[in-house]
Amino acid sequence: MINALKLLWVRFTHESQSALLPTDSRQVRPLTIVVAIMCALGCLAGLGASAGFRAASTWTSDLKSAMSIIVQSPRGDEDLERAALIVGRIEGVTRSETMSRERAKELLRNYGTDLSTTLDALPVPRLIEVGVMSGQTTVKEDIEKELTAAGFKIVVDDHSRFTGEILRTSTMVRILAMMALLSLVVAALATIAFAARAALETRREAVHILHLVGAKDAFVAREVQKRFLRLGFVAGLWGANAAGIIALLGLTVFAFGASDFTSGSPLVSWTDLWILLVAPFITAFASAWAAEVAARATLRDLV
Amino acid sequence: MNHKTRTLGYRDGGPIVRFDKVGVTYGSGTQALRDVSFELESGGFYFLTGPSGAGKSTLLKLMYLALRPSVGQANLFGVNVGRASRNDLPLLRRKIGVVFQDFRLLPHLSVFENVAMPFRVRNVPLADYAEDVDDLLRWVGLGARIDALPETLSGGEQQRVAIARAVVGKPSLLIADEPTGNVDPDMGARIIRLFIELHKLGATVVIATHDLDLVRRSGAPVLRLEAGELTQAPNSSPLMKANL
Repeated sequence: MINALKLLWVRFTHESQSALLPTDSRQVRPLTIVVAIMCALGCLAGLGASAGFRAASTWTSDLKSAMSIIVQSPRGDEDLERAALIVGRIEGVTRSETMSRERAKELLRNYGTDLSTTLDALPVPRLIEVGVMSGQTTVKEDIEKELTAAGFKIVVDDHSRFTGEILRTSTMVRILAMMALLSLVVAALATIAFAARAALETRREAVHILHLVGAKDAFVAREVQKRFLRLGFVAGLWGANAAGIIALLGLTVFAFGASDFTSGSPLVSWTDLWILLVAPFITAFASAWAAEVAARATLRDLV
Repeated sequence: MNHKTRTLGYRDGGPIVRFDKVGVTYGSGTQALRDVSFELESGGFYFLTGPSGAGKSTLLKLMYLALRPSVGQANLFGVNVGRASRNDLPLLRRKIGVVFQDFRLLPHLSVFENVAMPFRVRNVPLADYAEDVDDLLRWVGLGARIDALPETLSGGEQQRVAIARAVVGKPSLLIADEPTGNVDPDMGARIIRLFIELHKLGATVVIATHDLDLVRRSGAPVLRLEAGELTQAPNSSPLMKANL
């Protein structure tokens, strides 16, 4: 009974045993800051890639869900209405409305030049606005076929010119963001590996003693790994928080300066939170892995 | 293979240490040991003597596996350490307890943690060794200082911690470099008695010392090094009989 109590007391007083390799806060703090900054930049790159993808998807989807039909030389508004009715009956079309002459003039005015005096003299194109169900790929051809058969001379603009540009741009943004993320990951791993190597070099004497009392390289490497796992997690938490705050600030600024064109599609969604949530864990495991690999390599040279 | 059952080919009864024409040359070109040959029987008690710079530390380093020979063959526990794989070295080192002249305690660890280090590196649960470490620390007179850091201890106390760490794992081979150099005569005698107790339990003990009086009184076999050469080798391994 007394022995058991004594053991419990010893266990209680010694359970939280110190790390076998000494820590040095003068080295840990700057390294934590560096890794945190890299993690924050990585998170921002991830958020950027996600935002770019989302914006491109939204804009592409918006553009693909609408078409404009230019009816050339219609014989009055009735002719235009008849064309709109024909289009409205085509499968996959959700909306078919004629655009008034006044609204068409408004669209031209948006180009910025002062056309108020000359606009009335110009032949304003007569348009039909068409809504298209998503996934419908033959609507353009169907419209062209039906309206041509009905005797209309038309041009259908399905915005493919713009969607191609947007897709190319968004792909480029995503590739750049991924490249930035990859560069940051490589830089972070190299930093951790360098730090792990330096940590062992400066603790050469302690490592030597551990070896002499029978520690295997794997044991010493695990000691280093544990330390960098903890460091990576703390740095990851700081980095993810910083990235979250920067993203929020950026969104606030963006919301104030938003134009009609972009305000409809939020750049960052709640679902992007997963990037910030997993960042500390990824940073922790990546740090631990890099430290362990570096430690094993260093230990082979040390003793 | 379980490390607890792995023997690395050593069978009790034969020479625990066998050096055959061993030489050590450091990177600088300094030849620290030349043509050193001897055998230490398992369960023997030996002294290593010689003037400063004779190569005692180098010989001890070879014996506690901090160094591999440049030439010749050094066998410990039946294993040629020159050819032993890196993975085998920790298993051999766990059979060896070392008391360094400069103690080599880890300054950020408490007395308890320093002594418990051999268990921790083997992943032994705390409950399995806490009592042994406590008892041993009480035995060396440090029962009240188990939570102290080495820097708060005197030289003699640090020496006792180093000795406790070396013997706590009940090593088959105990190597001590001037173990009584920093302690008072009374504690020195207690330490030697501890080594004798371990020796009686079957451990092979090698003590490097300048204390020729202690060597003479013990009557134990002596290895003597001079200028890197062995000038006196043990040819017998009597158990300690002298009254120390």
